[in-house]
Amino acid sequence: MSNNKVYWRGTEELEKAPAFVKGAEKEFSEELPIDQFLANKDLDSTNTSRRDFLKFMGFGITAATLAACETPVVKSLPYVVKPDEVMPGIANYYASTYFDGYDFASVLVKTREGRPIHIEGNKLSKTTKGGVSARVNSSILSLYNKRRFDGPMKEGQSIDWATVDSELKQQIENVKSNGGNIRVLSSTMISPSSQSLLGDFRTWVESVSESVDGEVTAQSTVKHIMYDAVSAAGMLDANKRTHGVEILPGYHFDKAKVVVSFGADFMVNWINPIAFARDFSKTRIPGENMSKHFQFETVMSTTGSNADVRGAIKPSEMGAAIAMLGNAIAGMIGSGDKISASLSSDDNNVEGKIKEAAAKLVAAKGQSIVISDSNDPNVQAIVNGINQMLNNYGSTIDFNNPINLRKGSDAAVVELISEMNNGSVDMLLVMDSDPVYTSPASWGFADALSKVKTVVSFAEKPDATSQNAGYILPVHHYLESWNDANPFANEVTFTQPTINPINNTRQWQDTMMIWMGMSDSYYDLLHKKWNSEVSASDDSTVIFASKWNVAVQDGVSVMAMPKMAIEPVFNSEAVSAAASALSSPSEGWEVAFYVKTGIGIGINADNPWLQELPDPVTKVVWDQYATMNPSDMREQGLNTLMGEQQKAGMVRVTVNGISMELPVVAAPGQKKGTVGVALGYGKGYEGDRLIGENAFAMLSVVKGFVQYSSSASVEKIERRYNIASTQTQHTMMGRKILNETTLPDFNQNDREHWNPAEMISNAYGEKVPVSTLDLWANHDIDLGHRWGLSIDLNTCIGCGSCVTACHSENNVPIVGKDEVNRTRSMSWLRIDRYYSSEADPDIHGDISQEKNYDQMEIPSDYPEVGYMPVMCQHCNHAPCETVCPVAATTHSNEGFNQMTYNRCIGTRYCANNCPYKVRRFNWFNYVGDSKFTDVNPSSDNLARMVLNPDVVVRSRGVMEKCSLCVQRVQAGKLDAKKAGTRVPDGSIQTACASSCPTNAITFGDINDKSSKVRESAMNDRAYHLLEEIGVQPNVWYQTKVRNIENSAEHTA
Amino acid sequence: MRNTWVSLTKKLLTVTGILSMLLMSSPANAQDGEALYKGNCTACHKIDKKVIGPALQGSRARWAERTGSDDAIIAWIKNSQGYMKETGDPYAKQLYEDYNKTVMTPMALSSDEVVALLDYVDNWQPETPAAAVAADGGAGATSSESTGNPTMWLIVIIAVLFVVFRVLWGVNKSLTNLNRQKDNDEPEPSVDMFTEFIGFFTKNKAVMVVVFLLIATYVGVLSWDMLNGIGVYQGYQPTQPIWFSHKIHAGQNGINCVYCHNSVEKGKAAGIPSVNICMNCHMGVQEGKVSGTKEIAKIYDAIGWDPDKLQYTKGYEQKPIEWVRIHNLQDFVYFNHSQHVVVGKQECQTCHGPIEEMDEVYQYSELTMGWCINCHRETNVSMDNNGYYESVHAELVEKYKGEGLETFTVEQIGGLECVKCHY
Repeated sequence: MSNNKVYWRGTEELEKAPAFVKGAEKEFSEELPIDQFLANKDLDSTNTSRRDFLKFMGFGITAATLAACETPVVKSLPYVVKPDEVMPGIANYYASTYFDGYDFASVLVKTREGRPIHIEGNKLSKTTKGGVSARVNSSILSLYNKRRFDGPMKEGQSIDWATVDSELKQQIENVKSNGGNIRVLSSTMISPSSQSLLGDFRTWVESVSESVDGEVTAQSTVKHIMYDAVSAAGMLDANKRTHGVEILPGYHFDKAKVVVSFGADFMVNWINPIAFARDFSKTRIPGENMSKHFQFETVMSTTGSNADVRGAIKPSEMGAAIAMLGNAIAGMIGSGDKISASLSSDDNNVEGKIKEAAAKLVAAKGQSIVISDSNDPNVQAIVNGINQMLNNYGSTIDFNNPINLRKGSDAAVVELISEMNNGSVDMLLVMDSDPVYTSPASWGFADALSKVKTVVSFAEKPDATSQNAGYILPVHHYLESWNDANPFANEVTFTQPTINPINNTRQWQDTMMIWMGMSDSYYDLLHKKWNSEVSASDDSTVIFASKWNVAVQDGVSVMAMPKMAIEPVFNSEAVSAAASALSSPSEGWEVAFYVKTGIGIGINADNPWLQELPDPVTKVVWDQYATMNPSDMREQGLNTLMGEQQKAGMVRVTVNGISMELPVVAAPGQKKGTVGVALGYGKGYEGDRLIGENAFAMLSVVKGFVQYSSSASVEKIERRYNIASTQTQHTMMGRKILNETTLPDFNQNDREHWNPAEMISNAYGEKVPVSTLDLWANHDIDLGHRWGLSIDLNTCIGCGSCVTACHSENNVPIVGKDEVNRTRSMSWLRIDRYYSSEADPDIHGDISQEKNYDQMEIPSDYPEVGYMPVMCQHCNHAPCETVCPVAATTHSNEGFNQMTYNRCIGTRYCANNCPYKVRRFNWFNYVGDSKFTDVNPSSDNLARMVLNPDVVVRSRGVMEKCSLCVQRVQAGKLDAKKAGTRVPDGSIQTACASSCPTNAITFGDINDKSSKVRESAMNDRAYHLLEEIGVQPNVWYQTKVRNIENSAEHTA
Repeated sequence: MRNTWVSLTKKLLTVTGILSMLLMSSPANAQDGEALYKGNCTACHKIDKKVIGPALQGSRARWAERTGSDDAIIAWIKNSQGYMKETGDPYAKQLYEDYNKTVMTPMALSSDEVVALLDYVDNWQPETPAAAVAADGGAGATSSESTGNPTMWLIVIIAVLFVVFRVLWGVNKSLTNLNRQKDNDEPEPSVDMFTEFIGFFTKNKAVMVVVFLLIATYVGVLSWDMLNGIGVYQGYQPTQPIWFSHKIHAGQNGINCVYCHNSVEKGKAAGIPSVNICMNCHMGVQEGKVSGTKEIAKIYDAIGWDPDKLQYTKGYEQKPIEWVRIHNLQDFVYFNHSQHVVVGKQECQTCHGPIEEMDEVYQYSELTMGWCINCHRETNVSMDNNGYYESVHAELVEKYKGEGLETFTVEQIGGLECVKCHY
């Protein structure tokens, strides 16, 4: 099973592109221009003789020696009055909450000497359960963003807070006396205190003021409108129709045996992805109870790439596909009406897959989830009908534990825009959102905004809305703010400041309280509210800590469960009404707008960590692009290859009269006849280069609901564009790399069948396991600790949270697009993505023969995907160690492959000899070199505050690589030594392991008999990457098990 | 400095012993008065100056004048709060109000002892300026160097020898010429010493080679030493913004190191004490023996303490003290104090030298990697009674069974490995 599949790193490999084949054998794809250099005639005419050279050298060395003799004076400034909680060299952790209107996470913020430097998940939270995503843990860097506003502005001019307060207060008084209207526009607001504050504001403005002559003037009004950039209004509307409640239910993926998702990228983007991914990963343990995941979508999403069975459909076919699923289920359980539905084209057996999904769903009645990301209430109503048929409400889908993370209403914004257009809005306050950027161009939000008398933007940094606002009242970063949140059911989470405000900013809540003439601060308000209301976890034995202190320390607490207005009762008529209103699939090109795993909706598009985080599927960095199926691209004559020498072809995508010119990236798995375009671009910069364009403007609106797909015209343009990806470097061709099997095979056969030990011939020609033959003397690996990692390929979803966490923990530099293109990405941890397709051994024979790649082309249109995080494998018999001329890389008796930067002289022999290609060379001084000033965050003084002081910043000419977070290991060991105990298993976690939302990475002491990592490394699924070379790594991988019946099922 | 606890306990025991003997031998005399004053009063009082409490000299007379006897002041000293409650003396109340309502600790002294104390205070004379100068001079002398510079002596000796050699050579020449004149020979052609010197070497090649080798070796050794000394600042003793003496604080007063460097057992940095820690004592101790109020005033200036009003100035813009760092490890080395002090049970003096004898601190150790490694090779890990090492110790005993080792050096548990310090 494991031997007859062929893996390829990308279309370049599949198609044997000449550049790829040539480059595949070399580590560095570029030829060094030695001949060119030597052929340079000018060399002979240079004036520098050998004598001069020696003179300069001699002088240089003497000068350097003399300069080095002077003792540098280093000042040490202790505190005058040291705060109790700050101990130099010891990190403090504060619980806080990240919510930007799109992503939510309860987090722990690591601070050192008052500087926040790292973000991890808060395990006490029921909403995110200790997980974080790449977007959340990168938010630490946005705190030190030099583009943030420093102080309030009026019409582009700086102004001080007192003036701006009095001016705006006067304007509000005018509005009050004239009976005008104030509108407040925000993204979904989940803070109970902020909402009650807005209520107070409303009461204050609307309070009837009497004019001098005693007559009551016209009534002024305040309205708060919530609007989400990626809207769930369709879902809310459907729930209102089918259940009578306009809320989003809680989803319990940990209880689901079958999950069918129509386009919902629930592992990285959909509503509460961190918890969904974490919960779902618990059901992905191979065995009798392993869950099965079907995904029907257009663009290969991160979630779709992890599905057991994936069907590619056009966006316009989504309604039909869901209806077909409903029909099939209705047919099996003998109830419900059939809806007429068919697909316009089915080139990958979607119909068959839907039938299979229906059968599985019916078999797992009450233990399944069907979801869709459609913003069409009719489609969502049918999804609700299916879940009702499957008895999922009350078990896996729970209206009694609602999620509050999406409350925005598209209709309310439309109403607001019409109010603005007819001039009835006197003042608009915008916070936590950028409607000029995120609204469809057809709404004309920017025009409407110009008709509002006073626009106040509470933005953190310049955005499209603040550019059009008269007043900009900059707000704190969330790490400088106080707040509360009610993301899920009755959980409250708290945001607390972890640093004094860096800029001259103020929370909008405080501003509003100043306007209202309240003497308290927003903090006082929160303190008063929660000191009395938080009660459930109240411990009467704690007398010193107030309830508030406990709540803030934990970051989470429980409040009284909000009462639901109506008991949700299912209304089947709503479903049939929706079925009749379903739109039918259309013909021609369609464009699907999707949210990327790194950039999200663009809130932190100026965060270099996220820009350089390779997209999980395409592995492209620093650019926006259009994705297309490689077959379509070949038809259009577009270049399907990628790499430094391969410039991507470009297309012009036109939707609703708006055009975008985008480079095209081949994305196997994408539905043919469709183009995928990412939202969230046109906001971030690389130096002066604006990255991409705003695709939100192209969104169309159907019946008042924003749609994230539409028909489009796509035409090739004769321009080429260089895009950078981490995809084709460091190839490992044609070997057992990502080992995988199917669930029946795993359940029925023993290990030899699906995870055979690598065999090698010994001196007598006998085949023996690789591990029994060894050229080298053994290290004393059983003494003391032996640190190791075990990575479960079954639960790894490729989201990249570990990559950004590693950047944050280990001060890994960002190098920018140009350098990535030269295969000089510095990430210590990369996630390899392998497309795979079934190869028939009869046809292909030995997979290493070249002919086979040609024959694999047909399945490559809709392949399977596997992810494999690769970092330094910390080999016990490391090939890098033997070739270092200065012993800068050596082995530790605790299992580390040690890299000693201060000893390294930069020969790069080790990188050449590393079979895993995980060593990274500092080609530049990324901190000081002007080329990286605008790219690498640690080259500016403000962003340098994010650096981890326990890890060295490496300089030019030095090799670096994953250290298994040795600084954390040393700190953990020291804690144990001081406490006089053994190191408790799990007390030391690498940054990647602790940031993994699905707990795919386990770190620990292999020599600790009771450790989790030992259990994991010794089980049947465990294997080493490139086991045949016998380097004995301390990193194990767990075989990926796909829950599919047979090999034919998934290859259409 | 961890020994200071032991010595402190010993001192305490001695003091208690002396005290108990004093208690038995009554009445107390003026000699005891001094001891009593130093043991009980100095934290808050001075004899001739108002500190936390009032200046003591003259108070007895005032009280006696008011009440007619010493009884009231004796009762007041023994238990001020009790005295106020019992008598309701308005003068006492006023005193209490005047000194920020600072409660004076009740003193477990007998009436005789209080009398002895008061006698001592009455008879006390301020030190004459001459004595102070002498004391200052003494302190200064210890810090100046008297040994001289050996290189200078060498140069002087060489110069003298050269002069002697030149004179002898001249004498030799003159004598030779005299001799020749006597024998009526031609006088030797007049050559200067240098030419003849060169001539000697050209004639005796072997000598030349030897001399050349000697010089080459000398230069070689010198440059090797110089190169090895780059970046090594052993003996570095910068001038600090405050003349702070570890000799007085840690040596004479026996303050435990950890009292001020309080993160040494917790984190990687020993920690330079913040000014508020200084103020714990210097609220009371406003004058030093050596530098008077000059240096102590600098910490008041940093934190904003008004020594006259005895309170912190409100709204004062505090200024951190810019100490000059003496022990500078390179950025690529990770060193953790708590590892060495708590787990390794090392004394501060092992690396920092006789800190309790230094007025101004200098870098005692080389702080080179060779120096670190050498210690790691020689030092045994204290594994007893530490649960962390239990299984490791057993495994090590098994591993070194052949050599029969029971204790193990840092090296043997992997203490020389790169990533123990470099990451």
